[in-house]
Amino acid sequence: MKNQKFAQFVVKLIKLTRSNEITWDSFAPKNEELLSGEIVIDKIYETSINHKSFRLYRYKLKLYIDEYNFEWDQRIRLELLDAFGNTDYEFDYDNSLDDLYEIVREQTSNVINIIDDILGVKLEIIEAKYYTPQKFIDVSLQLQNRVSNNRLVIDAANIIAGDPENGVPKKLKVRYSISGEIFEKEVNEGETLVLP
Amino acid sequence: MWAKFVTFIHDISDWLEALGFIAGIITVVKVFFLNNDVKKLQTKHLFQVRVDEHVKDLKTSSRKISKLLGNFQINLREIKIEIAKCIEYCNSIKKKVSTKDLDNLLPLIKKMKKLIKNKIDNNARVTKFQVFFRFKAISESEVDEVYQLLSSLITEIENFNNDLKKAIK
Repeated sequence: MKNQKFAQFVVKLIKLTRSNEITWDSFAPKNEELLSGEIVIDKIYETSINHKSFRLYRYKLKLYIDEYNFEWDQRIRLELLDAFGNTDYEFDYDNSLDDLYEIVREQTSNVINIIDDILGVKLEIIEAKYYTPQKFIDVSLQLQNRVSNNRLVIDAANIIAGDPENGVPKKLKVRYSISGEIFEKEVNEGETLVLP
Repeated sequence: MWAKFVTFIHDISDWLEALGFIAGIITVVKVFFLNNDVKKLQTKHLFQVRVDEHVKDLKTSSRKISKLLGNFQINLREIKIEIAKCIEYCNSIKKKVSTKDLDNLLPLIKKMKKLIKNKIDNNARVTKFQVFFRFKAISESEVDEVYQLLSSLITEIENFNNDLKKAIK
């Protein structure tokens, strides 16, 4: 039961990081060697959710085959921190932590944006309307303003720019271009629009 | 005197014959168990030789699925493709290891197959036929559960492999 909850929590962290709802700060480790003899590799990442801080890092550890012989192995560790940055709790290792670590690295390094800049990839909203069969609202500007890192994630809802027709199911239709190539996407009210 | 000696020799030969027969039975039983042990060793060896490759494949799929989890409705098709690959990897692992050693293997295969077989289109309206037969679209929690099981299995395989290395040493 406990492990199941931890696994759900890591999945939640993955989703929140992927949708940029939480951001992680990166630091160089002060002491690479931990008290347990393990060695921190690369940067340390920290984030805060509901006023609680979490730390994520990759470390090297010795896996003993027998009394004297060992092999180096790498693991990811997720910790809950107290107000002074000390470890309050250490989560059990699971492979999903590796996936979380990769997503965090991708987010903090901004690598996707850097590559998009070099390749000249740019997401532009040509036309967007939030509509019913009778009425519509042009939401092109609102959607363009919500584009971040050449990516748009938005819920099709009245919150974008108001309700075109009260009590009627609406749709959000978008024409957009990526590096000059034009695409079109439509979602129903209540669904999430993800571009590209 | 001579007759006694002959009887004694006969008795000994009877005893030796009985002993030989028992030894024969013991040998047959032992060979049977040895054969099983050799088969187990062969399976373990095969597992050890291929395990790194399998873990690498499973980790690649797990990483892809983790990136697709955020918008599972939109990414469901891609998630299903990755899960189909994972079923193949898991079936391949199943042949090389006793399922008792990996607790998560069979439940994961079962859950993944169920998810793949579900043909209900998540983005389409539910038909009366589907409602009548209680067909359900794939839920986000189901996909999450498969991902969690997959992660646990990878961790389990890695730990099992480390234990195996220690045992062989």
